[in-house]
Amino acid sequence: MTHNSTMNLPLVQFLMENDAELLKVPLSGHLRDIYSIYLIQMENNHIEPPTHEQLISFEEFVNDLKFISEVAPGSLSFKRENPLLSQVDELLEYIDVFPLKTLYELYTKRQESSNDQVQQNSNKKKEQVGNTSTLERLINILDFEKSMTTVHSSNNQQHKILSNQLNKILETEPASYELARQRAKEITPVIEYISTCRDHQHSSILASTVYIVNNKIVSMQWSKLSKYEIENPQFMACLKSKIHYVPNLKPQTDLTLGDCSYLDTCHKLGSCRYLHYLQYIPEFLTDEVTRETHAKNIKIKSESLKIPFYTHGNCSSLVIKEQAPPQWIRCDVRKFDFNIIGKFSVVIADPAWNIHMNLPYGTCNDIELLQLPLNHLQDEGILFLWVTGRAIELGKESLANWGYKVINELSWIKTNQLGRTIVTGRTGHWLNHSKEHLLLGVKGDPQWINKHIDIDLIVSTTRETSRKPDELYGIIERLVGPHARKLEIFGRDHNIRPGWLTIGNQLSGTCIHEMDVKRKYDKFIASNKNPNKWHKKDMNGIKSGNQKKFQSQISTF
Amino acid sequence: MANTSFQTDVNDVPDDQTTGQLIDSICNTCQLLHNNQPKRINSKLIFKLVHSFRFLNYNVLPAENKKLLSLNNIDIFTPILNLPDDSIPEKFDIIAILFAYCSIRSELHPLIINSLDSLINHLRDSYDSTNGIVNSDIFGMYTIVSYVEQFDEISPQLLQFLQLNLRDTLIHQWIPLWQNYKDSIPLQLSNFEQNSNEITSLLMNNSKLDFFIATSIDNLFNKQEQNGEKSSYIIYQITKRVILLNHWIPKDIYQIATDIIISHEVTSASTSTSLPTVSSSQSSSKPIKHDLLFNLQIIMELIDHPELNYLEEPRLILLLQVSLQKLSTLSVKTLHEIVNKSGSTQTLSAIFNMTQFLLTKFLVKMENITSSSSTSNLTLKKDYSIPDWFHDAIIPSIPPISKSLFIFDNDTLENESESNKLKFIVESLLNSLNSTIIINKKILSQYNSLNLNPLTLTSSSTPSTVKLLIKEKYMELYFIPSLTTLLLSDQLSTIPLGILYPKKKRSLYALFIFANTTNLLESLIKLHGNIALYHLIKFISKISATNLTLQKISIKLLNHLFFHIGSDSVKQLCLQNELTTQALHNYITIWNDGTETYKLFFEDLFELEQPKVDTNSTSLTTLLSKIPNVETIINLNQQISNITYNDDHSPIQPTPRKMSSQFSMENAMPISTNNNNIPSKYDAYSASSFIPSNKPYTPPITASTINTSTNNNNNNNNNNNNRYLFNNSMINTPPVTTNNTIPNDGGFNGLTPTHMNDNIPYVNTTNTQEGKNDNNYPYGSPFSTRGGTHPMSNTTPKTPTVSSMITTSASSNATSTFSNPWNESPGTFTSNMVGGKMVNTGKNYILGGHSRVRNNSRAQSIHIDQFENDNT
Repeated sequence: MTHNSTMNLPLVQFLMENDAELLKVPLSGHLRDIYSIYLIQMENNHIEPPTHEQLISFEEFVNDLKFISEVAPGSLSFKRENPLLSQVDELLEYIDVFPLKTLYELYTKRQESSNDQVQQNSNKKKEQVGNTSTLERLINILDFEKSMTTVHSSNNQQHKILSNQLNKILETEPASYELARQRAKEITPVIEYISTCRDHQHSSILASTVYIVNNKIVSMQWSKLSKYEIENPQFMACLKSKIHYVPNLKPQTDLTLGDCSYLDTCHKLGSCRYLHYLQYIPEFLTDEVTRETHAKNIKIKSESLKIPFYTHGNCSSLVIKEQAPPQWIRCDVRKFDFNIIGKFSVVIADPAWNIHMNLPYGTCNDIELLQLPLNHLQDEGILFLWVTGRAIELGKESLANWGYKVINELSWIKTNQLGRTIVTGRTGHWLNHSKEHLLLGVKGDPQWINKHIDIDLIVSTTRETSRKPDELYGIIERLVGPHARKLEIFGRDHNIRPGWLTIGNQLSGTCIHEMDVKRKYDKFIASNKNPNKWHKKDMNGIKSGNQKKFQSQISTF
Repeated sequence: MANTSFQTDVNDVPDDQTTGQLIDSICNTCQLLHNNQPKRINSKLIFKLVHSFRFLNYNVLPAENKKLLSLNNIDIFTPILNLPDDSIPEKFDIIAILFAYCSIRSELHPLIINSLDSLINHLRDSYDSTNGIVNSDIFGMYTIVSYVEQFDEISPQLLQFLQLNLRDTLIHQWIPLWQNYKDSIPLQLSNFEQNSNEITSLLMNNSKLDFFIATSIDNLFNKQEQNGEKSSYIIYQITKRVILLNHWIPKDIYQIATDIIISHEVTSASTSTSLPTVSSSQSSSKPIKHDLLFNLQIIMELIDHPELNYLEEPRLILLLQVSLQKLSTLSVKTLHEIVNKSGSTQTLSAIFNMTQFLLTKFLVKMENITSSSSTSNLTLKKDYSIPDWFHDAIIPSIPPISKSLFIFDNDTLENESESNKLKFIVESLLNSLNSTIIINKKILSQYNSLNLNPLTLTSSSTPSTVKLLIKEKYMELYFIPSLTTLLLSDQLSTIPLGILYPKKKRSLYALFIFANTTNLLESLIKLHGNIALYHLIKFISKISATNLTLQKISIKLLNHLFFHIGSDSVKQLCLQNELTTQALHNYITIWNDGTETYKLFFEDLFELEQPKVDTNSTSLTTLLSKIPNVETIINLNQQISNITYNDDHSPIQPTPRKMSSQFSMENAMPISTNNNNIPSKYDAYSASSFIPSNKPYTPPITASTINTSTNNNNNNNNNNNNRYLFNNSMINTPPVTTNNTIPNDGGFNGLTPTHMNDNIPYVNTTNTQEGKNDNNYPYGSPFSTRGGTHPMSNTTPKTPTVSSMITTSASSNATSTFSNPWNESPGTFTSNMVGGKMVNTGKNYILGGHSRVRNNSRAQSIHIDQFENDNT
């Protein structure tokens, strides 16, 4: 049988009908498997057992396929999986049904016509398709603009449809995003929240009923309050359920000047003539909210015990594993050997950049920060780097330096005591800074990241100088899961958290639970001849502006 | 006999009647043997008897059985010994196994004691003939029992397959131990405590240790005497063995042992009562975890840390072994219950297959390392590498996970020598692996018995493609660990030298692993039918093309599955499906090398004649030329090896700039090493760097000098430099007094540079250059710039020229001498070195003037102040 001259029409039909199935798992386009399926199909199609002529050998089958692909160019494309193996191991990479259909129709319509005509036809088609490879055709389709504008030939019409389809596919949001969001919604613990009263009248009523001693509300005149309740029916209910800010009226306060722009962070509370406020929350309210939140979290925890519906990036023991207790190491980050602490999924660094501003803490110089061997901390993962002012550019350079690619930037919009945006930031050369920036650098290609859960904005109140909002921890824990190892560099006591390792020179002491880390750390300390001296010496290092002293000085005013 | 696959669940103990009948028949058989009626004694009977002994464990018979005690004055060993060798295969092995069973159940001890003299008499010849030969393979009784019990039945075929060769162990170890025991008083822990040689021989010799456990375990935990550190160490070590024996230890004792191991502490409370209290600091907050969930948690810990080096985790491995052993006795239903309770993200099959893969992968890697160091013969070396995609295919991508605290060690109880520890860990790993395979196999065979198909995808909305994909992934989940395990088995059996464990054990484990893995795959095919077989053949075709060792193992496996499992079910299954047949035919044709290995496939299966294969010899160059794109491949390989050689980081991520590595170089001052590579941005113009105290100082001279200077700064010192150096080092020490007097920690004069370096802490321990930063806190007066450079160079921002950078460095080096940021008086700074200066940084108003926090920025403005002051 010379297959070069005979078209195996059942095969063409077979390919047309099963194009998708043949290329997918488990056949994956293996010719041998397609051959087997073809034989099975032939057997099934014939009521009588197929004659010997109808049963072709594998070699003939391959020849037939080649012939089809020759006659209808572009209909079949082959791939050799392993170049060392024989032709038998070729794969069918792609089946284009369109040319196959044309071929089939041509043959069925003009059974009687000669092979020459087919040859002519196929040559014609060859010109049309232009003998382009699958890749070239894909690239043609990808040229969206061209295919959208040019509609004069039928070929381009096809391109237009295809590029539309492709666009649609690309725009489709993977289900994983929604699943990750849903999971975060279901299992993230809630935090305590009490809303704030925005009624000015309430605060002015309170101003006249509270006794303030030493910037603290000492007592309230309940009799007065109940009197006001008659005038403002909802007042007492509001007082019991919301946070109120009570004007802190002092002899020097000049009400006509309005609110102090620094409010509770004002350094001159003792002398500032602007208006300041004190927070009032009834004690029972905080207790109640704490209780409710706790109950809610227990419920969330117990419900998460159900068989998880989406497991991407989670470790197998997600539910029963206890979160690692907080760990911290007091050290001079600049001289610390980062190899001893292992690998992390996420690193936060809040270096004391020298931004040429008057800062209440010491800063590192650029070279010291650039020198930090942060490239040892992750094989793959995300590094969050707080930057500000000129350090924004510097931070980007540093990230590149450590092997990270800047992928995103998160902004923290600072709000003040009353929940309003800051008007008078304490830093900024040109405009006052009322926000801070957090660069996200990614290293490698971490598959386990849960994308698209949180947004790139945090709106949160300022606290102690340079203390960053806790919302970030939530974002990170949703990004990598609660049990991933997380590191904070240049952290302080308020940064220690379950699941996190914090290092910095202002921490009180050292606490390591992971014994393997502890062993290495002890070795490291021992290798420093005099560890005590070493620690003392650190003190002229990073952010060592005696932060606490600064705080205590503020509070004395 | 009960169905063995269900027999093993601890919750599924046979009723009293069954047990009674079992004991009756055992007693009758023993009596029969004793009566020595050669006509009725045959090998079948003996094998049945030995098999029935496995049901005398403490799960089935928790309490002492009076009927068994009646087996007094009976000798069952001599009649067997008297049988002619050819009537009973592996005679000594079966006697030894019987002996082992009798040793480990106290009611059966009389059986041994009664026949001991007769045994010794019969074996006297053997004593003499092998006298002095010490067999290196010493097996304990419990070990042997655990070896044979992992197989469904003890049969002559099994013993021939295992080749235990227990004769020497029996004659030179077990019988003498019993003889001594018979003659003297029972073993006491106190006997051992006095003699440390005894302890070593007890703890190092498994047969002695097992014997001690079998005969004297009650003494161990009932005595109040063990308070010393030594005895708690011994107890802990013995306990480590006890907990591995599971159902052959009385339940109460096993419970105490488990508590000791989990609480990781030997306390009098835990040994004297069965309700132990925990005083370990780690677990004090929570009750001891007896529950099965904890066992699973340990396994999940392993899965969550695929990167672990198990040789460094003795405690995890110990716990793992105990857990797997425990879980291997449970039914699939119980296992499912635990997994559900744990809320695991992995399914039951996934958990155990991943465990199997991780353990095997580690062992294969370890074997590769040890064998490459022990075998110099290159021809012996085979490619025992595991394809990279195996790991990625079944181990999910997760971030680095924090370790659970329970896996950490209590150092006081783990002070064994390193080598012993390694030996223990490796054996534990092999045991754990074997248990995992058994669990995997059991799960499948129980699914089969229960008519459950885990691949039944009920959801009708699932597209068929997805269903097929799931099936493929499911199959891979089994094939990847199994084939890797077979690779390990091959490795253990073909590489005779093992550093960490003796040869005999290696080959035994190789056999166990092979037998259990093939059983596992059999069960898989039995459960899933043709789809499993088809995927197996496809999988084998895929891996064979990448690794010839895997090809060899694969064809061995296929041979076994098709022709050696005692039935032709697989063969029939294969022929039923065209797809499978074609796939197998293709595979066999491609790899046919004309040998016997492939013969059966052609002749038995396809009914074809095996094609003859010619042997061709060819030169390497011709061979290479036949490979398409060979040059590209070679080039690519070179590139890859270059990359891995040079690069710390994964190639896909941006490579850190050279700069950072230079910065971290111990000896490199960024400015003097390679100025051209440093972009102007790094010139941190205001925060000028200064030379760290531990680094010898480079003279602050002109650019040309710097350009010619090398990294070799250490030799560059002169007296002048020494002074700078000293000053710098002093500066990094916090001042003792507020006016910055120099702390007298080193002697000011006459120190050689080396000495000075010695006086400086953390000189050689860190990579970063320390102390450069002092100029960043310039609220103090910088005093004089010794380098004599123009001060303006500091104030000019971003001057990227080389010379300016150098002068910056030079001047800053000198100015840094005086900045000590944590001086108590902000804004002012005095020094007794140059004379007091007061500088108002002019910035205090920002902070309101009252907070007295020092201004530490605006370095440049302060420099100007300083120089202006100096100049005036």
